[in-house]
Amino acid sequence: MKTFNFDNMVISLKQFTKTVEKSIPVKEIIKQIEFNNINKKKLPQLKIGNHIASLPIVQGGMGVGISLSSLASAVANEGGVGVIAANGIGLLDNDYYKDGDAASVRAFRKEIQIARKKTKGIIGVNIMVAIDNFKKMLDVAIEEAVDVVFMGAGLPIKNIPVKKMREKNIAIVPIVSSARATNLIFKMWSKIYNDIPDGVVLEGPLAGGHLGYEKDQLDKKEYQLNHLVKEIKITLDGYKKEFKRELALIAGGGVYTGRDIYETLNSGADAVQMATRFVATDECDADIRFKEAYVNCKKSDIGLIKSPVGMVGRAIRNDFIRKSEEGIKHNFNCSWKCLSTCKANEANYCISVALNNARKGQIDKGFVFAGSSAYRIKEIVSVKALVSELKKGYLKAKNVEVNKSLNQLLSKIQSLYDSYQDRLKIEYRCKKAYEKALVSFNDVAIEEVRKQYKKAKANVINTQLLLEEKLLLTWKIALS
Amino acid sequence: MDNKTFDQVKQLIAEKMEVEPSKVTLDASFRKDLGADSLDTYELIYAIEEEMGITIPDEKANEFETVRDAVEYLDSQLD
Ligand SMILES: Cc1cc2nc3c(=O)[nH]c(=O)nc-3n(C[C@H](O)[C@H](O)[C@H](O)COP(=O)(O)O)c2cc1C
Repeated sequence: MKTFNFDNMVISLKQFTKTVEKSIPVKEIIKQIEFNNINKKKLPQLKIGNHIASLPIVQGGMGVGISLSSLASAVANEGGVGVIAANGIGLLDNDYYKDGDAASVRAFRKEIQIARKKTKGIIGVNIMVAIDNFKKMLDVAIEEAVDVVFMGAGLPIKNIPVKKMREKNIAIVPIVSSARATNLIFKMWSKIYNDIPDGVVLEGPLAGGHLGYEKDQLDKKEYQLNHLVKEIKITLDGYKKEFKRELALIAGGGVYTGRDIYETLNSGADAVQMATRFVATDECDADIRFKEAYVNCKKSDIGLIKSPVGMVGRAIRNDFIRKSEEGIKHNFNCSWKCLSTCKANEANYCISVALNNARKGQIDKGFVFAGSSAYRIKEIVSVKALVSELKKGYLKAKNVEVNKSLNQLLSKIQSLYDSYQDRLKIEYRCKKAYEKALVSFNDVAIEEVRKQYKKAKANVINTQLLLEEKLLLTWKIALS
Repeated sequence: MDNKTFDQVKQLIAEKMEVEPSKVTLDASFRKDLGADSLDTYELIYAIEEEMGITIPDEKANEFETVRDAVEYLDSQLD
């Protein structure tokens, strides 16, 4: 196959301009392609509520204490959306066991404020709906006027101070795992609040941490990320129309390379959510041993656990997990139930404590949550280096795709253009023959050449229409 | 136990879950017998709230195993 040559494309279009300029906006097409060629070094931006991120990447919130101010601000500084996880954040405070609520509020507020000092970019927070201090944490997020609140692990439907959040210009984004959940949330919101969230994060079955799926759903085709994206897009499109608003569809779970980002966006998402890759960065807030667990793990180490909170989770499986599955108890003191669905006694350990130990690097006293592609990680890099790698990968994938389509179209246009020229010549010959016949006053001969002339003319018009079609398609691709 | 509540709930369940009303007994388990997943349960709860004009906290909704649990809770609230 000929490789696509941008200049050839423009030349061939310019040639064509002379002949069919009147009927096709060829000049416009060329301008668009040239424009696109200049701008092809850019990724699309993400509009989320009233905020615009120059990078269509949301760093997934990671509790306990894995994504705090350091990681979130680094991602925001690169143009993405940085997210501080509220879950279990109180464990970072020395007084957690004296007054858990106060400790959580204090630690959460502190992290938001530090992040704000370190970046002018977009800072979001991730709060679990099922957590007992949901309301208090949400209040902190509102007081500190974060840019986005992501809410998962439950349905964020009731008791959301939507009006207050709107006043502070806070985008509200539920985390979902299906089109059904999306629809239920949006339907109830429009009933209760006469408003809808600003989009959703779709967390697919390959994600790390707690998952919104049953074990047997995870490998099914209908739960593949791209498939779910298409379904949710249809749901959101309906609400976009009804409310005349833009809604962001952010999809994640297993997104690893820039090429993955391109493909996810191509399937209909506006942005991706990525977490696993951001763990292996200098700026990630976890202990170095947590990050090294990612670097050192094998594919077969990554597996599922049944979390005490009643959900399936994905983690790097270790002896701690295996032992507790065998019934060995890791003592803990739970004076209050921080999660309404938690069945800690049945699971033999407290998940907050286990995750907090892992955060501190005491991996054998807990375990490490990880996405399904964590085993691919080979080294710990800076957020800047990671984002730059992802951007490059995205643009490369995009150019390969766009060039492939443009190439095919170009050769089609070339051959159509050739046959268009031929047919023009035939038409010209037929026209001459017809003019000659007209003066012969031979009715039979006139009728014969008239037919031929008519046919030649129709052929020219047909080819021209086909060319128009291809050119408009080219235009569309150039616009993408 | 108030039969009226049960009848109302039964009808809502049959409608929302698209099951035969006869299948909706007091001892029917939402998950095992009526095939509800967690989203179905939420959807049902919201429908009941609307129909009966009461509010049911999400945590409570999580605890309903059987139709009886729901009916008993509703009765205690409606008194
Ligand atoms: C260590 C770790 C902790 C996580 N903690 C949370 C959390 O507290 N809340 C949440 O909504 N998602 C959590 N997640 C899910 C991520 O935000 C993200 O959606 C998901 O991992 C994306 O898939 P990826 O890791 O393959 O990129 C966690 C993921 C990891 C790896």
